[in-house]
Amino acid sequence: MFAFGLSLFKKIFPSLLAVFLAFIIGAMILFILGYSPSYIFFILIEGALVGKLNIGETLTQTAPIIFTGLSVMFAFRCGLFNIGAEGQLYLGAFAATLIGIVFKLPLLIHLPLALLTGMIAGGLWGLIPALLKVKRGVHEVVTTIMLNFVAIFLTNYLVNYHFKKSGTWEPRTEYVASSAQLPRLLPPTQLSAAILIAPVCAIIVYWFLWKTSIGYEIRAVGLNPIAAEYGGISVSKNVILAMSMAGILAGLGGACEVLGTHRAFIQEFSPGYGWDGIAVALLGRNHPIGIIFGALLFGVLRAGGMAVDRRTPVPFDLIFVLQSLIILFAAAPLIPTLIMKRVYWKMELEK
Amino acid sequence: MSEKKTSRGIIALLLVIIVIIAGVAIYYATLPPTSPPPPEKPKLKVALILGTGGLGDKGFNDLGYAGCMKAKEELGVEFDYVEPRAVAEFEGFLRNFAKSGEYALIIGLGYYEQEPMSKVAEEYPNQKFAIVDAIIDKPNVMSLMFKEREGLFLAGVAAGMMTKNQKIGFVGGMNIPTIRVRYEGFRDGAKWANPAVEVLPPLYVGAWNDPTTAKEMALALYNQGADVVIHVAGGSGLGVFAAAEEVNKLAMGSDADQCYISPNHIFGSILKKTDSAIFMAIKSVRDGTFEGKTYWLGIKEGGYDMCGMGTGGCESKVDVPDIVREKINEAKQKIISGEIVIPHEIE
Repeated sequence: MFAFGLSLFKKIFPSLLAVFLAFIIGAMILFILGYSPSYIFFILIEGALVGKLNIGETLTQTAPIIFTGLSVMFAFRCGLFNIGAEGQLYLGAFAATLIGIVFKLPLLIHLPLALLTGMIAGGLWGLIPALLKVKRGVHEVVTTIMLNFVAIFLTNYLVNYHFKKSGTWEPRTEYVASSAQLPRLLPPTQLSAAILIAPVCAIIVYWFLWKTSIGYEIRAVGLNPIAAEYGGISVSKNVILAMSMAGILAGLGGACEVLGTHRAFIQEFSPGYGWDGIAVALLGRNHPIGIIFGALLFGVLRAGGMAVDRRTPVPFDLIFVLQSLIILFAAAPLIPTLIMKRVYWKMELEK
Repeated sequence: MSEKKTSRGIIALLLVIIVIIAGVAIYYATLPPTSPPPPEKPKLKVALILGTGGLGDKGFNDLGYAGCMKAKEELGVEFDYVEPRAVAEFEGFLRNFAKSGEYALIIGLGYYEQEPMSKVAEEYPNQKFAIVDAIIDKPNVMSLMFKEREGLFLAGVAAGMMTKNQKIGFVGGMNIPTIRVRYEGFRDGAKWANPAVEVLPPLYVGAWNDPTTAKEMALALYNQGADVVIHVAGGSGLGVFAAAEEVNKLAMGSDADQCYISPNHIFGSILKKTDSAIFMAIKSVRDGTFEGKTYWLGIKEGGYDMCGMGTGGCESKVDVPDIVREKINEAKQKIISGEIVIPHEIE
């Protein structure tokens, strides 16, 4: 038990340290700028975690980040960098909205159909870079970044010129039929059942990657593609599978966002959930459970940041500074690893 | 061995740094939370929710902020503002402001906030709201609309009088109703002032932040013989000014006073006085005259005006003949007196 606790601690310590260091440096920046760090952090935490509305806001912002985090993680376990979660999210969201608007079906068929369509759209968007990589050797980082812009502007075009709600200038579609809406959990906040679907997805992803032979193959390719190939595992097949799955997860996130949170597709609705997913995958050490907690932290930062923006003269940009610092410390493994080694070495010595 | 020593040195150094940082942090964390001292008399507080363009756009959002600043200085009200980064965040911000109950008025900038505000306004019927550029038909929402046709009519008069080739052009941000009616106003104004003028068909950039495309479009208009081009394209408009400088022709700014951007080529700007509208809304709350109805603001109501033409307060160095100025004043007078009637409905 102690050994398990120690190994768990060893796994999460670098992330905790990254968050801790980020907050300390964030506090110093606030102090230098002439604000009281304790007051600002108090507002941040209160604005994210105290009261029904605030908790609702935090969880609303957490759900899509879990999906995009899982998406980035899934590709990464196969040795791929999926920078395209944002675009996959948009396409999944738009496809789900279309189903939600166009069809009139009973709830039990309509909602799953809309979610499924969102997953397929996201998956196909993830398939493109995978095929380009396998057939033509194009690096997926370049293609996924580029496809983000294609997806965002494509949906901009569609929502402005073909599916715009009548009677408003706002670039949004009609509301989806009530039979395609995810139920709200904490009215009047926008929190929807997406927050329940997301952790279930995390568990399914865990099971798929660690308990099935296909998952084993994907991870083998991620660890060492040459060795995997030598061992009879098809690298191409697994690259295609992993990128499609990554797209499916992000697409489902987008579908949940429009069917649950907004009930309509709004132009550029995502404040960067796809990019947050990259950071959260990193912070969560590419583990589904870690990602849930990482996404929760980012949800707290986003919701708390709104309160800071509203109630203090500190701009929301502070949250970006904090996020960036967390990513910096999480991505620079040198510092935590050095400290870890020191601690570990001391423990060995005491034994 | 020596490698180990260096790495130990680095660790020691890092630990020292962290301890110092942590010490400073703990010191400040243990200080009692210093919230700003409560004001002696509870002041009127308003909230401003900017558009996604955010502050620094030298136009719409900056003007909204300026209106609140003016209210702060002249009426002594407090204000908090937020800069949402995505359309999807409006609803959360609006509900947060409304829930707190601290604000006498919550102001939304731009028609992107129409849906979320009507939703939140319904949840909080006792909270007063104001929205610029959109109509929300609710007793607790004041809708501030501008007579876009009328404002651009005035710009059309100026452009129609300034042109020497008898050709003028229009670059819009997007092909949407609120921009299309501005083209109509511009065209009608030019024709009223100078029946011989040819107003080239409008070109639409398709974005508010794409000066490169706007520049190409303005160049196309200048190449077709236009010698005055106006933009109603937000941040894209900077491209129109760049094109005017390149071919040494005239241009007009919009929303805010933009003459300083290129004083030798911009002879005037059409001013959409978002700041005055917001000031008016805040004042009505302070005076207790707030009404949840739609206000149409034109030249008479102080919603639209013009700068340049040597009226002072503007940095334009373009020589404007007296006859142009007289014609503009004539148009203004006739619009105010009702002699020229311009419809303000938007599709």
